[in-house]
Amino acid sequence: MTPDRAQLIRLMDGSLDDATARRLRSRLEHDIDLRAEWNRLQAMQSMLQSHTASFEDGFSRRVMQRLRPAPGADESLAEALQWLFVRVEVAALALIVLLAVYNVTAMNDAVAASSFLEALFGLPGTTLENVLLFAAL
Amino acid sequence: MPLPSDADLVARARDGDHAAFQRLVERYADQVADVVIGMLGAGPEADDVGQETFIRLYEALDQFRGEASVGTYLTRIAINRALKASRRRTAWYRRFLPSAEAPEPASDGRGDYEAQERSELVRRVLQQIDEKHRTVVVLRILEGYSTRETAALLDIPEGTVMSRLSRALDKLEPLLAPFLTADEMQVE
Repeated sequence: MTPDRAQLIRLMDGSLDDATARRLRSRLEHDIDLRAEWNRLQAMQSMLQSHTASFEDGFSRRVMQRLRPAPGADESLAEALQWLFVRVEVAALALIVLLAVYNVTAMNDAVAASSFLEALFGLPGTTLENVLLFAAL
Repeated sequence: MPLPSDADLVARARDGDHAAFQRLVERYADQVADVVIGMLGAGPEADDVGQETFIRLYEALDQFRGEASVGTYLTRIAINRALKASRRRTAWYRRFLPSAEAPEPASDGRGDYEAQERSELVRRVLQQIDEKHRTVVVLRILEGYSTRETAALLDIPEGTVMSRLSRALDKLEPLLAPFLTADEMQVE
C-alpha cells in the first residue's frame, strides 16, 4: 500500500488529523494522478455501499419458531402415557362390564352369592357350605 | 407513541416477553442480513446463520449488559457465525470439489443496473476475495463501521484493518471496474 493510498483511505474513513487532511485535499486539487486514485476509491466505495440485503419474508417468524422450546423428555412421556391410558381405559371398562354380566348370569347358578355385589364380582357367598365346597376343589 | 428503545425491548425479552424479542429481530434483521449475505451470499445458509445470530442473542440476554449497542453486539455474532459457515463451506469445497472455481460475476459487461442487481453484483464480487479481506470490506464499507470499530469487532490492530482494506480494494478494483460508469469515476 502506497503512503498516498493509505492516506486516501484514512481520508475516506475520516480518521486523518485536520492538518494532514487539509494538506491532502490541497494536493487533490492539483495532483491529477492522486485525484484519479481518489475518484476510483470513492466510486468503489459508492458501488459497494449500494449493497442492500434482506432475508426472505417471514424471517422473524422463523426465528421465533426456533426459539419455542421443544417438549422435554418428561413432557413427551406424559403425553404418550395419556394417549395410552385413554385407549386402555375404554377397553378395560368394556371388559369389566362383560365380566360383571357373566358373573351375574353364570356364577349365580353355580354358587349362590349372598348379595348382588358378591355376584357382580363373582364371589361366592361366605357360608360354611361354600367354604367346604371350595376346599374340596 | 414513541418506539420502545432497544434497552426496553431487551429488558422485556429477558422477562420472557417473546413479542418484544420479535420486535428486536424485526428491527435488526436487515442489518444482520447485510453482514451475513455480504459474507456468504444470499440463500438458505445465510438465512440459517441469520437465525442463529438472533438465537445466540436470545440465549445471551441475561449476560447482555448494554456495554455495546444491540446492533454492534449482533454484528459481532453475525460476523463470527458467518466466518464459521464460510470456513465450513470452503472445507467442503476443498474436500469434495477440489477443482471447483469461484462463481463469476453476474455479467461481464456494463448494463443498466437497478439497486437489486447492483446488490447481487456486489455479493458475487465479494465472494471472489478471501474471507479476511471480505470481512473488513463488509464491516468497514458495507456496514459503515470506522477503522477503529472494525478493529475492535475483529479483535485485530487498526493497522491490520487498513492493510486488509487496501488489499481488498486492490482485488476488488478490477472486478468492479467494468461496472463503474465514467460518471461514477468522477465522484467528488
